[in-house]
Amino acid sequence: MFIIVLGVTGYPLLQTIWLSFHSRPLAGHDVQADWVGLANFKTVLENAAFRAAVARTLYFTIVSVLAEAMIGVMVALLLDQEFRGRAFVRALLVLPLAMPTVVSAMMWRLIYNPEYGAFNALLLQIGLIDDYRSWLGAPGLAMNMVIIAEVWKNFSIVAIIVLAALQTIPRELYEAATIDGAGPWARFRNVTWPGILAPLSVALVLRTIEAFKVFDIFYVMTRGGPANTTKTATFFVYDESFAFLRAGSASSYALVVVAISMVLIAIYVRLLRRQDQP
Amino acid sequence: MKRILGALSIAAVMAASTVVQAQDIVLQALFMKQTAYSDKDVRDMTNDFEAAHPGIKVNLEFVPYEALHNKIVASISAGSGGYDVALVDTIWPAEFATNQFVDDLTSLVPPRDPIFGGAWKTGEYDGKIWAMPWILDTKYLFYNKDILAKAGFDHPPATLDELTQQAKVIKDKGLADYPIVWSWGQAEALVCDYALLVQAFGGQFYDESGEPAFTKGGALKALQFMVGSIKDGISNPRSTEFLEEEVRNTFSSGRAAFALNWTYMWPLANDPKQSEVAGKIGIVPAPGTPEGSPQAAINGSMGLSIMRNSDKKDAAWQYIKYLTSQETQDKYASMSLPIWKSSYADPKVVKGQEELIKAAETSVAIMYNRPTKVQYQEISTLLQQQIQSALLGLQSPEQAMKDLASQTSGMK
Amino acid sequence: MSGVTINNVKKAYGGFEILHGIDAEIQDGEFVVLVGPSGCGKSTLLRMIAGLEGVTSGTIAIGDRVVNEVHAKDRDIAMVFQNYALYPHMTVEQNMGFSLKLAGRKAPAIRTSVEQVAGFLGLSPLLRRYPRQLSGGQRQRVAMGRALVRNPKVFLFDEPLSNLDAKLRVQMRSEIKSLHRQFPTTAVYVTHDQVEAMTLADRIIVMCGGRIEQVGTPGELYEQPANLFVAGFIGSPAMNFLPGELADDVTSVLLGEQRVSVKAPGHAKPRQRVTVGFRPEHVRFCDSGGIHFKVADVEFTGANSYVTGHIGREQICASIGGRAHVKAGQSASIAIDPASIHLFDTTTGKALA
Ligand SMILES: Nc1ncnc2c1ncn2[C@@H]1O[C@H](COP(=O)(O)OP(=O)(O)O)[C@@H](O)[C@H]1O
Ligand SMILES: [Mg+2]
Repeated sequence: MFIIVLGVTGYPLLQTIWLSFHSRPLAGHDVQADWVGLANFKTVLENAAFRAAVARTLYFTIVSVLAEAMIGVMVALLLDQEFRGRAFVRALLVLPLAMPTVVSAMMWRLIYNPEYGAFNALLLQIGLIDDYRSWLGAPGLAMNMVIIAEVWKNFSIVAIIVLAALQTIPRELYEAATIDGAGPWARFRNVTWPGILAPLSVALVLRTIEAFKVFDIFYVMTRGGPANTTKTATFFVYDESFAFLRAGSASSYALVVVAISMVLIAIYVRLLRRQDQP
Repeated sequence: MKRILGALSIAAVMAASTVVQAQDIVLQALFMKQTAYSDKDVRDMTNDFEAAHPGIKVNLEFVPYEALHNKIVASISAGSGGYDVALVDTIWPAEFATNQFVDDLTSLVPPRDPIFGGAWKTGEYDGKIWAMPWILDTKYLFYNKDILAKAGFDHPPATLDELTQQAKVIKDKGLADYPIVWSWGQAEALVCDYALLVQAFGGQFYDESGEPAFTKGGALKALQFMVGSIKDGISNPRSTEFLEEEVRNTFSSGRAAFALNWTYMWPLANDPKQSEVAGKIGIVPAPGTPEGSPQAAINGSMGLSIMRNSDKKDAAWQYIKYLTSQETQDKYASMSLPIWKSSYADPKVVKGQEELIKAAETSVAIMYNRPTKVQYQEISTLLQQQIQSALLGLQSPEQAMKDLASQTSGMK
Repeated sequence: MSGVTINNVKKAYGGFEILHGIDAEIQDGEFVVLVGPSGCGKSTLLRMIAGLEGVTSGTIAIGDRVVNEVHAKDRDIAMVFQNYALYPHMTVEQNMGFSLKLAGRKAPAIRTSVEQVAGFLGLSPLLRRYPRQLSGGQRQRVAMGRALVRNPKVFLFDEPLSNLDAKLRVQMRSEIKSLHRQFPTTAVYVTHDQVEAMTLADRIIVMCGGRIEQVGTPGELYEQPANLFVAGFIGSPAMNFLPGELADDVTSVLLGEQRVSVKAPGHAKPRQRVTVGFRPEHVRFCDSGGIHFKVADVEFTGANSYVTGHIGREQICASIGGRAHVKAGQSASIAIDPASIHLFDTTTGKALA
């Protein structure tokens, strides 16, 4: 079993590492690989556009995962209450998850459409804007608009996991806390939060890994524009290999992206461990 | 093991399509879904081809233009089992020929004369033909006759200055918030619009010695014109997130007086089912400048190539020959004009699209080519970003082009 | 001072009434056990006292104060739950000090209180541990400690021992008892186990189907059960019941063909149909002249022997000290002291007293 896992995950990784020390065209008549040492990594690290893209991707990752966590927890708390139609609303939660990313990205592109999108219509109606405007075409805004779409797509993973965790918290714990004098906030802080922390952190680690390698949603919604302001780190891997045909440096970009996500995960695990042991 | 896999895949193919006979040759062909021929046109042509060529079947795949290049590249890097025939844009033959992704078709293609020279340019690199021209396309200036009439103009603009001036009047009279709409999203479409303006202002990307020329002269003026038209509010600022389809939507809904777009918008904007301006629009060659070119047109033609790793090259060529034949092209001439010169004298082709043909006669003859570079994809990617940063006011046009020059220095 | 007064309390869930008017007076410092079969509403009543459930009608007072509208945290009560309800991410010390911390007490003061109670309960070595690192008995003790630290006016217990094994249960029972002796705070204790009720309680409230059947000291319930339900519920093995009919002179009762002397109260009517009850421990074997008894089985437990058998067609049980000298299948003769016979009106189930 171990051998299989190692083979399935290990072989492509080794291949990528090997490639990252070579110069090799992606395809064509002459796919000879020349040893170039660390030259590919030097190119990657010296590429200012790539560094900016990493910073941008970190921003995307942190903001969207934090928002997913907050909205997910709040929705889970709401859906944990008794109300009519609860089962229906819970079922609705799976909708964004069931939708392929490409489809939901297309949907959001239509919603944000500057000429006839629902978002403009809504904001105009409630008086927040006085004219239709461009959301995905504005350098500062586009990233945040994509984040909204991303959060919509993925908050329900967090909500579903937290909801399941909430249901495992014994009612008596809340009652004991009530009798001990805890108000709603103290009950949340001392009963609910510790009860959902472990599953929530697993969900957030998974979301962070996913978010940092984001590609589809940007590819569909902005293609990295306007003026590269939504070009994330994985675009460099994609462009480098399929547009510019350089398999070697594409591998280096890929490995740097992987390394950064591993650092992110390490930070997370450390933070959460500290939370867990007060 | 290999035999079993082979048997399995044959079984899978047979199960997938009961029509396919065991001895049939099955071609894999890749097309795009947007502009020029519609998916349906391509399917119909292919059905006719299959009917005329028993023993050959064609599996069709359609992807957006923005995915076409990388789809071709990915299939080649995956090795065998890729495409036999693919649609290739005029900017790729240098790259595809140098990397030997596609076959040299020089010995197969028909005699040059009956076909427009601009069409041949589509697939030409290093004196050889790598793609048989199929879609002869360029961008035209579309205008809304109603709006122009209300603004008091009885003719479309003949120069860019006149375009600006008419647009200002239209804006001032409140006939359109933003009179001109372009496809200036971060994509190849932006480069097409820009290149057309470069031609209009008499500029060039590279000079005769191969040195960058986009930092000065007409190329810089083109960018300055784009930036200025957004600042003045005569160009729709949302253009910076538009591709061709958004341009068509905006123009078809009557919210723009002018639009730059490919041939395919002509029939669609004249179709009352999809357009509110059907029958009220005009088409002319894109205007130029007195100091540059009096009119401007971008070569947006595309051709069909045989993939190097195909093992059904004879059938592939038969298919290409059929699709590019004058007979087929004349039949589907409303979405994409034929490459054949004599078609333009054929009443069946001309009927109902006299205005388009008239514009085409001028435009096709002057089609401007984007630079022929092996590393075109990379140069274009950087160019798109720099143009956008100028359009969005993040940088001055001069600085953007200077940055581009340093980013692209040494690229082949 | 801080007794609990329950006055005509009713509880309904969505129109469905499950407590039908409960009246009870619990004295200050008294240890009262609510006992009854599962589902009879004991927990509900207790949780209403705690403030975890609303009162549908009637009043509950703690001391002189009616607490119907008082929030649980302001009732000055402490509760021990069946599954202990310890906060899993807090140490024993934090669990015990939590209520004091929420009340805004300073850390050193909390520490002093917690250490005092912990020392008392033998929890001092465990203060740094988390609940998951404790045995069931230790958790139970921490739950008690958490309640004690608060020094409340009333202790509420909801089946606190039912998750423990038999031996621990007996041990904890006596610990709770001795704790209460040292700190005589009002306590209301819910259990379905009548042995627990008998051993712990100053007074027992027996409930059934959302009503109180009888209130009294363990001795009163054992000796003067007010009705068939209490008679059958209290005592182990359970009281034997035989159908009978009072004789014309009302001083004896007919059990089938046999005549047994009883002490019937004055208002009893001749030929009245009654249920005759007697406890297994009040049955004596005699040589002859007693009631005819056919032995079916003999169980020897060491201190006692339980002899089951039949009088006529009715099955009864006898409890004999030491070893029984009868065998299965044998016929024997038994006698019951008239003073220990309970008579119940068969139609109402009420004791004839
Ligand atoms: N929240 C509730 N909603 C509806 N019925 C309830 C609720 N809580 C308890 N009951 C019902 O009330 C009755 C008494 O329950 P409870 O007080 O828990 O009994 P017990 O004597 O076993 O502690 C039971 O029939 C139970 O089903
Ligand atoms: Mg209960």
